[in-house]
Amino acid sequence: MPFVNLESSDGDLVKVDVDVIKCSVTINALIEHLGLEDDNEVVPLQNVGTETLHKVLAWAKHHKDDLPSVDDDEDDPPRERRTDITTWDANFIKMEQIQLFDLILAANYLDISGLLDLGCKIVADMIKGKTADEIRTMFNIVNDLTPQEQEQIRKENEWCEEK
Amino acid sequence: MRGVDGVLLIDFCNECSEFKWDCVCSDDDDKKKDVLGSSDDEDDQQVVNPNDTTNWKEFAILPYQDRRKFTLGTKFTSWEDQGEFIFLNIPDQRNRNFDYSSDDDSDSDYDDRWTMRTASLVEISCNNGQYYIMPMRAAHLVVNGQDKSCSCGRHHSSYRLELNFGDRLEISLAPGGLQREKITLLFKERTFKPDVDKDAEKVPQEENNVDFVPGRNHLVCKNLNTFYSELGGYWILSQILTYLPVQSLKCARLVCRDWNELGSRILRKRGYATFTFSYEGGCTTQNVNASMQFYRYIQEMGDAPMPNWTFFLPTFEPEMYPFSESGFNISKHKPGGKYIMDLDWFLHPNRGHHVKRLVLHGALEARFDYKIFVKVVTKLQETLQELTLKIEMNLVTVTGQEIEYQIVTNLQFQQLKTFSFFLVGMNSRQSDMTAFNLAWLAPWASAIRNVDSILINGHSVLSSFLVKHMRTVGPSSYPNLTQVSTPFIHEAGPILDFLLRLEQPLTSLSLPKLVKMQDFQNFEKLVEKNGRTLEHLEFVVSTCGEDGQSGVTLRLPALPKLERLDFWVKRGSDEGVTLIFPGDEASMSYKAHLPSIRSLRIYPTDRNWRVSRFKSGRQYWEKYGGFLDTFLPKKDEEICTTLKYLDIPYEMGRDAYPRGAELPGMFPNVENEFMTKFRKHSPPPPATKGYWLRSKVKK
Repeated sequence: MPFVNLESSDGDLVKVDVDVIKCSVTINALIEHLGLEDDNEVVPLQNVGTETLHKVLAWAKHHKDDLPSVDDDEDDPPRERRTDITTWDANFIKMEQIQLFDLILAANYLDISGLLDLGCKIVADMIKGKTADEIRTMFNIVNDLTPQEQEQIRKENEWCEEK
Repeated sequence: MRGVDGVLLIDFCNECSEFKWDCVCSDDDDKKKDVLGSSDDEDDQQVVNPNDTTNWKEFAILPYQDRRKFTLGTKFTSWEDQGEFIFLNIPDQRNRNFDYSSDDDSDSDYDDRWTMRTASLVEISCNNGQYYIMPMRAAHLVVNGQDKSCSCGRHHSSYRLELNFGDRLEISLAPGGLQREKITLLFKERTFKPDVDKDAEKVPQEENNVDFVPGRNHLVCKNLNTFYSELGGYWILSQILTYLPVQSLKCARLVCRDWNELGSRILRKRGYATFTFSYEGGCTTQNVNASMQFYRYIQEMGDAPMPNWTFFLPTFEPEMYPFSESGFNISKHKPGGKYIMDLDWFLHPNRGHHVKRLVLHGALEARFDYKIFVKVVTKLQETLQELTLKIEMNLVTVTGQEIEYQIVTNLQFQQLKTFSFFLVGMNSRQSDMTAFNLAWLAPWASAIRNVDSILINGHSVLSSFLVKHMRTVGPSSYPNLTQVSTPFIHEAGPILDFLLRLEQPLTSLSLPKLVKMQDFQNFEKLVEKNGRTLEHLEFVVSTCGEDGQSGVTLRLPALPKLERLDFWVKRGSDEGVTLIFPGDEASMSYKAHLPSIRSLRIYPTDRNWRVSRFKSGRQYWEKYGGFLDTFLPKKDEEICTTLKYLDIPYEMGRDAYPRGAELPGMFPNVENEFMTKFRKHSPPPPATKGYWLRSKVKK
């Protein structure tokens, strides 16, 4: 089965080379569990809109020959994870913030680790160098820490340095 | 009642970066003041702006705790008497004139009496949210320019004064003393480092690919709860935070409780609690009160202990110099003695430490230093998973004999996975070292049997002794060892022999310089044996020609899992160096030989060679360009898409690598700066005919 039809949450069908979308653990599992055997079968993606789906597929197409990710162990990251972004990815990710977050959600839902990492790196870049106040403003977060809790965090932070 | 933590600051000299008590720059000023009169003169009192701490450094943190007591003085007696003790470096007139050769008991008696009288100079206590200060019998205390010693000249246990933030304290042994014999301190509210180092972490605007508008981000905002639940918890946020550097993670913890929970979890894994004996911020004076940090750590981190530690041990002064006034003298009442006592308390199993990663630094001048060094390791060894030892060691006596350090018997690392070892010698000549035995290393070699990764570094001769002891223990005793890095030890033979006798397949190898024919043969055998499993291979080939060989040809097998290859040549001659993969192809087939390669570092000469060694960069390329050509993909293969990182001497002087313009097409996913340059600019002029002839690979 070289192709699969993906149905976005907007009801649009997009025909995709299975080789391209093999990076999605979710879709691979759906194909397997739904027992899809021919090119006319449809995989419903209720959490991914058409526009976002096209972006996901553009990314997947470019990265279809990539080797499996060998990034740091996420469960036990002893040091900062690599944050390098290729030129192609950097150009790809230039989009409105709403689109970016939809893309991150889609990457998470479709379980595409490379794309999720890319989105997370971009958001992390935005957080770097910002004060807690600036981060709260950026994400519209209410500070629910008491002054005592903040002081305790600062004390703990002083004990924590790079290796 | 809860109080705010206080801190004592001390005046320091901008010129020599020493505290004023150790600074010689201020001597002239002091002498002028002595001529003018004592510091009690009103004209001599400086008006202190409590907010101006430009010339003040943090001296001691006094964490507030009800009914807690701190004592500032010259001699430590006991916790029971003095509470938490803080050494003041007030010169001891008694000791200045001490006759070290005298056996007269009366000196000893007098010294004891002196010790008892001057040990405690000032007490600071905490009660009901307030700090109090109390001068002791031998002290003269001036607060904000006003003499606060009791007018009757005696000490009263009930006489205490409120101590407020901004107060300036002058403490001396007697009124009207020299400036150098007076300590000036400033009491301030404890502050913390800035949450953000804007200069260090600022992300250039052009790198930001997304414009964030405050309030529009629904990542964690307008429908925060929905977003979290959609994601099955905080998965995405935790992923984002893992990409932050430590300082940004600290800020993230201060955003809200959710961020604090996630951020602290990551910080505890990645950050290191650092215990040092130096003052922060440029002061070169040793912090003789460094052991105060042990108590403070337990108090502040007891609920969230750090699993990663960096520990800098001071050098202890032996008891033969009991009256030394600097450093960590270990005799009774001195900073070294108190440090060791506090260290014992701190490392006690009841403290609940669970240290997984330890980086231990030590400048070991004598056996006693090594004993303390070993103590730290053995107290923590049960839980250690990663251990890095960085040792600078005095290995010879004044007569040139090797110092026989203790051969410890209680080293055992049950859970250790990674061991890194850096050893350099103090005052040792290379010729002496080869005759050493370093028997003290034998227990270490035996204790690390369970590791799967080892890095041996430091002095090339000294570090090779650990390999020697590991060979004695026997390769079969290291059944988990799969990653070995020994790039700088002075002979490749022993480590190659050890590695060849390991039974398990290796995944990572970083080898010392290959010089002899035997090295090359063993290297080929080793790589052949581990070809299917190697993921990282780093080696250096020397053309010094010790065996009189002419050129070096190394045969490598296909390396299907190799992701990183680092290979360079140590030039003793211009003899050719060639790698040959199966099939004796004239150039490499990445698909067949290195299908997983992600990173290549290839240097035909030492990495720091400059074009000044040649008439021109062109001459360099004529000599060595062909070496790089062998790593270009075959014509019919066209491109190598797996490679992400390429490090080569891409230009010498003004002359770029002649085939540089072909690189972006051959390695489309490499993002190095020079590749971008090659992509943007037109190809360089065609190479000379001579160059192309030399580029052909030897078969």
